[in-house]
Amino acid sequence: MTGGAREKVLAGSGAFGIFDDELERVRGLLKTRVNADRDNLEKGLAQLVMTLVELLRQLMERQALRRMEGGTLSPEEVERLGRTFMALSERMDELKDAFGLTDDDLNLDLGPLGNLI
Amino acid sequence: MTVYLYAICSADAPAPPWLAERGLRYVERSGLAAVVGDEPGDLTAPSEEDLWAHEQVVESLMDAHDLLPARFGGLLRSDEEVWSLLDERSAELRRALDNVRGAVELAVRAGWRAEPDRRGDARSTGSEYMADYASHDARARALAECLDDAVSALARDKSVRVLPRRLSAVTGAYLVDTPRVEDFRRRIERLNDELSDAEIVCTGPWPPYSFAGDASR
Repeated sequence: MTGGAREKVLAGSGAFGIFDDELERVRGLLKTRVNADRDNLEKGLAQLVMTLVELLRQLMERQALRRMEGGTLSPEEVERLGRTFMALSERMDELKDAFGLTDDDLNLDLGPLGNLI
Repeated sequence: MTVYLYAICSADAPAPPWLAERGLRYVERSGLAAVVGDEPGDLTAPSEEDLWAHEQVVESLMDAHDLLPARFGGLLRSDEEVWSLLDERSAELRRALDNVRGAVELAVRAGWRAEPDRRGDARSTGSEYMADYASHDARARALAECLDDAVSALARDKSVRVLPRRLSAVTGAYLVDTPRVEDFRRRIERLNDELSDAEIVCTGPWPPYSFAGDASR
């Protein structure tokens, strides 16, 4: 945490690093804003596609969780869905590494609607 | 000539005496005023110091009167574009100004003291993966409820997100009447005393960025 941010802390210490991902998010947003029309088109396109895939993955995971909690999935279906999500999660991690992206890069600012994810 | 937007306020709000000294001015239309200045440095390579410089201007303005803060980087092409913004969105901006009057934003992040394991390869079966997700989800929602019970009554408005697999499981922005900020802080401290596996960090007071609608973007 920087000096300016530290002066703003009213409660809690933040000593265990929960601001680290926020700093990454801000850096990601700044990069997105300023590089959109420059030399990062390939990475930008990958980021956009992966953001949409990540959104769908999260929505499907949540839906599966609700169905699992509602008892409408058999153990075999839970196993199959879990394996699919696990494989997708691993593949997304590999792609993020390949393109030098973090979790917080996979988001979109939708103006008044807030963030996509 | 481009203008850089810091905030929007009522045109009746008296301009602080230091405004012109800092190269800032009001652009007025439809009973509203946009506080603008020249583009501050190179916006294509902003530093953390640039962000804080923007923040300090907005906070100084907020000390003088209620406002809708603009987020860092808001450039408009000309005064005419500012007029259009104020004309076209005047009703919405007035509503947002009424909503934030006399209040500040407090930011809250509730995080685990240990990083949740999010890598798929840490689990061997699909059922374990789903059980693990369910457990993270339930834990994060319980933390969010705990926070909500503690502070919601003190907030005029709020925006809360639950992120089950992140270190910061819950992030929230609360719009709090200025005289209630200390009560809010005390409740967070009390909650921190009760939590063993998580900590809640509250920062502020901030200009009400999360409650400014389009003005902040």
